[in-house]
Amino acid sequence: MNVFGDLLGGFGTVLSPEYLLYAAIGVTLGTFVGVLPGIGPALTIALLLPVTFSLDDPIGTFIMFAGIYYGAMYGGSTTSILLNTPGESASVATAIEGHQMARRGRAKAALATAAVGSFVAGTISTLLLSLFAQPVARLATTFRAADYFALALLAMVAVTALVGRSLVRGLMSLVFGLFLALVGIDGLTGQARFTFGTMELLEGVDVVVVIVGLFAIGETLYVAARLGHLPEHVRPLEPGSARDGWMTRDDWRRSWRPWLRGTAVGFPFGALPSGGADVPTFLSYTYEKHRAKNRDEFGKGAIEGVAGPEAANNAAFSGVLVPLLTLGIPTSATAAVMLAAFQIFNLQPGPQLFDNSPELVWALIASLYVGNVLLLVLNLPLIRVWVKVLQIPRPVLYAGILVFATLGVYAATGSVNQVFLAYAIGVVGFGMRHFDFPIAPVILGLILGPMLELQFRRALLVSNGDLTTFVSRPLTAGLLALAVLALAVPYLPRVVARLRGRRPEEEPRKLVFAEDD
Amino acid sequence: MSTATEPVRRPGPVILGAVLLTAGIALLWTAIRASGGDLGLAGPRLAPVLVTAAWVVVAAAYLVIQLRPATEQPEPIRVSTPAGVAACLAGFAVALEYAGFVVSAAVFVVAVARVLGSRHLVRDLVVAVVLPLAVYLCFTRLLDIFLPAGVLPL
Repeated sequence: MNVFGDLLGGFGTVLSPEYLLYAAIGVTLGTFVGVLPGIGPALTIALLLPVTFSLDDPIGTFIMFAGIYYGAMYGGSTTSILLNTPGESASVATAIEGHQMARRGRAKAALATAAVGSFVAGTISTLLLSLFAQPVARLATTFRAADYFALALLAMVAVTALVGRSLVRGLMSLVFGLFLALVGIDGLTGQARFTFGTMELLEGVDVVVVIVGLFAIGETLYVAARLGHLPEHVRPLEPGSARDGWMTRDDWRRSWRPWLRGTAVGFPFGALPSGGADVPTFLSYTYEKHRAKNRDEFGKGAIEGVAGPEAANNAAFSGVLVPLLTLGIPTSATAAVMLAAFQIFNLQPGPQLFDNSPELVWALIASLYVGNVLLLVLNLPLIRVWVKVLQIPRPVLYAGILVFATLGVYAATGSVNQVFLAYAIGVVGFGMRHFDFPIAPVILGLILGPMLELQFRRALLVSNGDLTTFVSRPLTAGLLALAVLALAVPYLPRVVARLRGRRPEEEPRKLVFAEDD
Repeated sequence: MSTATEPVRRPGPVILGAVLLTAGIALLWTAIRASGGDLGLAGPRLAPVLVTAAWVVVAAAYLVIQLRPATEQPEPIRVSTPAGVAACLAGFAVALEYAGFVVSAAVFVVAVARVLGSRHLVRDLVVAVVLPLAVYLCFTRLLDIFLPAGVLPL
């Protein structure tokens, strides 16, 4: 089997002491930043991007990123369980039951089932990623410009439709992102667009600037506006030695099926353009709740409600990597940040990546396995350290985040004007949070917009300006049809209710998933 | 989030809708003017017009929804604290290249912590000195990333 040969090669790269060190640093940094309340994986990666600027070794950097991402997810679940402030929406489901468990003195069991579940799901889904990546990449080599256009459109529209509470607000966010993407010099013709006569905007709006602005600055301003509304009290761990009080035999018995089911839901949803881990974590939570024999325990700390969503969350990440690595199409805000990181190293994910830099791809995949193991061995024993991190006083914490955000933008761009631009975008982000506009579509619009336009124009150049090129191939037409359908998905419950003759007002107005950030 | 018990409607979302719509129209106008009537399908001038036109349509839809009887509204917030944070940020950015990273960040940390309600001046001062200094040394010495040294002879 070719895949296993490649994968072994990847392990051969990763298991050198230097790269293991990178992985360990990544996992630790990721957990540290991920534990901080209100910080999700996307921002963690964005804030830590400057650390990698001076590294000239893409393999080491991506091994570090994989560790950061896994660590950030793990840290997020710790925060959800002990503080009930999910750092990212994919941890919201975990927070529901996990925090209840912590309140009833079972914090250690909740943390353990989250950690082991993440490990199980991460390992299985990485295995699936190893198996699927190359076939999908090979399939992708047959894609033409028009197909890429349709795919990018589908990813954008589907995520916008599924994320956030209102389609109109989601579309507004998306349009804003697309607009930001237009600013600067057109890649094909060199013409300036929306630069308003300034030199500063000719180079366009840097993705790092937008991400740091929207997530770090915007989030901090929002927190500042709601001081006093935030949970401050960290649930203490149960006393006892480091070896006691984790999972009982009964906990294991109740956890392993939700882990596997969560993985089964998480991986495919991650691979589809559905906005990453939000949808599968909620699906997993709902499923475990409906299926459980002890349903009345849900809401009061049922371990299944932690095990399932955490596994789904982790599995979804490997799923998200399938379209990201093979097609170059991000389907969540975090994946978009990863893509930005790839581009800093002049690497374009896509089918060519597997041909041009196979050692990088397989080292990255192998590092996912390694990162999983490292997380398991590093984190549960170190849990008391992470609890200390959670107890950093909020004013100091947010002051520090702002310093790092400013530093990140300055290091990335070397210009105070860009720092001001990030602040301005941060004010916009604050307004978006206040008025409940989702953030993820902005990032996707910003990343996918240029791809969309480039492929559109390329397709038309190939077809001599014939617009039917977008409907003449079944694949292209099908993808475009799916994109249109995706806009209707949020309203399905209402439509179904009406078909059944019920008053639509009694049903939820739109399928609601929290937002990925 | 919901303020269903409170029939009084705040004008925020409506004003936002109007601002978005106005901005959208202005940007669409800019895009159309820049195109000079040349909207070739494969040219660089079509996308700006399409995106800003979509902006106008979505903003209009948002405004119309806000004008209907409100179902849910953003919770009231204090604007003074974020405004204070924003002011500190602006000062930080201005001072960054003149005073240098360490000094400006130190002042910034103390100021922002105050704005965010900290009343432990000594703790804040310790953080304000140690954190920027450590970050500066890490980034410039270990990672070779340039940060303005400013007034300190580092």
